[in-house]
Amino acid sequence: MGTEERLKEKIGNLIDDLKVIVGYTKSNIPLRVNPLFIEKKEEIDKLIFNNLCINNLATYSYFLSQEIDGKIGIILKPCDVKAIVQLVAEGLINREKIKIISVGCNGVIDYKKIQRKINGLKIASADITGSSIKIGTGEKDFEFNIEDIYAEKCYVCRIYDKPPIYDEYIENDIKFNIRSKEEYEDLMEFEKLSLEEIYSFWEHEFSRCIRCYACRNICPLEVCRDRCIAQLDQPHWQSQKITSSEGKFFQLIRVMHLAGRCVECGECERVCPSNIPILKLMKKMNREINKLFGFVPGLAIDSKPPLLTFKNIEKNIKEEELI
Amino acid sequence: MTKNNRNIGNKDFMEKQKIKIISIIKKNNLFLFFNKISEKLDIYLPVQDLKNGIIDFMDWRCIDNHENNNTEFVMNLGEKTKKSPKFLLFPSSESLFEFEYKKNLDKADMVDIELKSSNISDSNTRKKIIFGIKPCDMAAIKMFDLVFGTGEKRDTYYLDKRNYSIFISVGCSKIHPDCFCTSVGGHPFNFEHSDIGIVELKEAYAIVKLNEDVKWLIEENKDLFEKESSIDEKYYIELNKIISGSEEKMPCIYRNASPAEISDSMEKSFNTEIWKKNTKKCISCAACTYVCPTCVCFNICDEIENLSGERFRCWDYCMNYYYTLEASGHNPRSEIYQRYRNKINCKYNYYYKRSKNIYCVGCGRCVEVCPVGMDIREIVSSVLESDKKVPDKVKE
Repeated sequence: MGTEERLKEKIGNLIDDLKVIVGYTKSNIPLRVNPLFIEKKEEIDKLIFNNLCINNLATYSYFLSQEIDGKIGIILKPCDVKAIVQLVAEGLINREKIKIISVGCNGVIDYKKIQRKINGLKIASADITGSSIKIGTGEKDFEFNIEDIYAEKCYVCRIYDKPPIYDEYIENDIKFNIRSKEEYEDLMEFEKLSLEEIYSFWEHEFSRCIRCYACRNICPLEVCRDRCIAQLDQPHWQSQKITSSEGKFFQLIRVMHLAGRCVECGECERVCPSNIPILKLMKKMNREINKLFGFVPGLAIDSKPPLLTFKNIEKNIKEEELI
Repeated sequence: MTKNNRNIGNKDFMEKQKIKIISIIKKNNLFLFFNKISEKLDIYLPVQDLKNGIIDFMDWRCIDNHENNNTEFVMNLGEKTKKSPKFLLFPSSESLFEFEYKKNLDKADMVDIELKSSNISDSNTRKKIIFGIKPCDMAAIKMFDLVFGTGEKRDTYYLDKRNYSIFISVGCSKIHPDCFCTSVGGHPFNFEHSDIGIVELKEAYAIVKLNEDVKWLIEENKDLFEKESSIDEKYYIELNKIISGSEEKMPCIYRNASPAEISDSMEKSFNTEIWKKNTKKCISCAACTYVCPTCVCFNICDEIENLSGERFRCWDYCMNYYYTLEASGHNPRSEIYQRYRNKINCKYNYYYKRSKNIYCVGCGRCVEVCPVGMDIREIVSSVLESDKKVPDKVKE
C-alpha cells in the first residue's frame, strides 16, 4: 500500500475518536493543495498526501483547539510538527487536545519557485512523472527536475523521517533523497552585502507590500490575529497607511514577535501575494537568537523559549561590556 | 444582464459586438506611439519585473530605466496583473486633506483649526492612459463608477482620476485556470466599457474599438497606424481564431442560474450551515480583498503629530475583525464565517439588489492568491446546489 492509502486507513481508524481531522485535498489550481477538514468517514476519500502538500496545517491547531471541545487530529509533515511543539512549549495549546498524525516526508514542491523559474507566467497545467515535472503555461512548456524545485527548507531538513513528537507516524514509501545544503547558506550570502545594498533591497521588495496580513494570519505561531497591535485603533500604535515603510515596520513587529519562536516553515513567504522574501528576516533573527542563547525552536516540548524566561546570568551576554 | 446574453456563443458574440478591425499598429511601432503621446499624457501598462516575475501596472518609463536595483522591466500583456489596476484610481492610501490646530492666545479655551488641501490632488487631474487593462478589470471600473460616481454625493477623489484616464483594453487570448468572466456576464473580448479595444495578434495590434472622444490619439499619429481600407484579410483570420480559441477554454460555472436566482439562493442560504462548513479553512486575511478589482471598502483615519495632521483613506477589508467592531466592544461579525458570508453576499446578493449586476467580474485573482485555496466559484456553486440549482462543475 502506498503512503496515501496507509494514511487513509489510519484516519479511518482514528476518525471515531476525533472531532475533526485536518488534512490535504486537491485544489482547482495546478500544483496546489487545499486544507481539508474531515468530520465524517465518507470525507476520507477526498484526502491526499503527496509532495505538493507544502501547507503547514499546524496553523489551524490553536484556533481549532480554542473552538472545539474535544480532540483534534492534524496531519503534519515532520517539519510542521515543530510548530506544534513550540505552541505546546509556550503553553498556547494543550498537548492532550491534539493528535499528531505525522507522515514521513520526501520533500515538498514549491510552486512559487517554479513561477519564478518560468518568469511569472501562470501555470496552466502540471504533470509530474517520476523525477521530472512538466509545466504548461499556454504559450510555452517547461520541464524541470524535481530536485531543483523543492522548497528551500527541504534542502536543510534533518527531520524528514523523525518528527520531534507524534501520536501516529506513517512512513513514506518514497525515500527522501535531496542533496542537502548548508543551513543559512542563503542568509550568509545576503549578509555579505553592504548596509546600503541591504536597505535598497528591502525598500524595493516592500514597495509591493499591500498589508494584507496573509503572512501574519497563516503563521502557526502568530495566534494574535484579531488583537494585532498593527491594527489597533486605541492606542493607535501604527499608522494604517499602506506604504513601503509601514509594511517594513509591520514586518519588524513580526520579527520581534517571532524571535526565538519561528520554526521557519516558510508559510509567510509562500502566501505573500507580492512575493516578498520575508522568511529571510525571520531566519536572521532566529540565527541571532541561536548565537546568543543556543536555542533552536520547535524541538522539545519541555524546553523554555529563551525570551519567555529569565536567567540571572546568560552565558553569551556579557553585561559588563554592555554598560 | 439577462439569462440569455450570459451565454453568448462565439458567432453571436462576433456579430453582436460587430468586431471589425478599425486600424492596425505594428508591434514595433507601439513604443514609438507611446513616446509621442507621453509628452501630453502619463502612460501606465502591465509591466513585469524580471527579477521576481511579478506583473503589475506601472509607469511605462520604468521599462527604460534599468538602474533601479538591477531589475529589468518588460511589458507583458498576456498575463493578468497580480494586483488589479484599481489602485491607479483608488490608491491604497490617499490623503484627503491636512489640518493644523492653532492656539488662540486671546481666548485660551478656543482652538482654531486650519484645513489645507493635500498637494497630491494636482496629479489627479493629469491625463493618463491605462494601457493593457483586461476587459474584466474594465468591467470592474464600471462598477466603481456606480459606487463612487452616482447618486447625490459623489467621490471627487475617485472621479478626478477616473475622468482624466483613457482606458485601452487588450483582449485575453490566454485563459487561466482561475478565469471565469463568462460566468458573471463578461467576455474575454468585451470592449464595451473601454475607450479603445485592442486584440494582440502575432506581429501587430488590431484596434477593434475606438471611441469618438479618443480618436485624436490615432489621428495625431497617423503614420504609425494602418488605415482601415488597407487592412490585410489575414489579420481577420487571425483575429477570429484568437477570439474563438479563448472562448472555448472559458469555463461556465453558474450557467444554470441567472443573477436573480443566485441572489435569491444567497438570501435563502443565509442562516444555513453551508457558510460554517465551507469557510473552515479561511484565515481571514486581506489577500483576496486587496487584489480584487471590485472591492471598494476603505477606512478613514486622522493621524496627528503634535498639532498638525492628515486625514487620509486607506483600503480596508471586510474579513478584518476590526471592520465591524463597535465602540461598545460588541462585534456583530466576530466569526470568520460571518465575515466571509458577508463578503460573498456583498458581491452576489446585496449589490445585485441595488443595481441588477453581480459585483464580481470573474478575474479569478482571489482564487489564485488565496493562501488556503478558498475558491469563490466553489462557494457560490455550493450555495446554488443547496438551493437545487445545480451548477456545472468547476473546471478541472
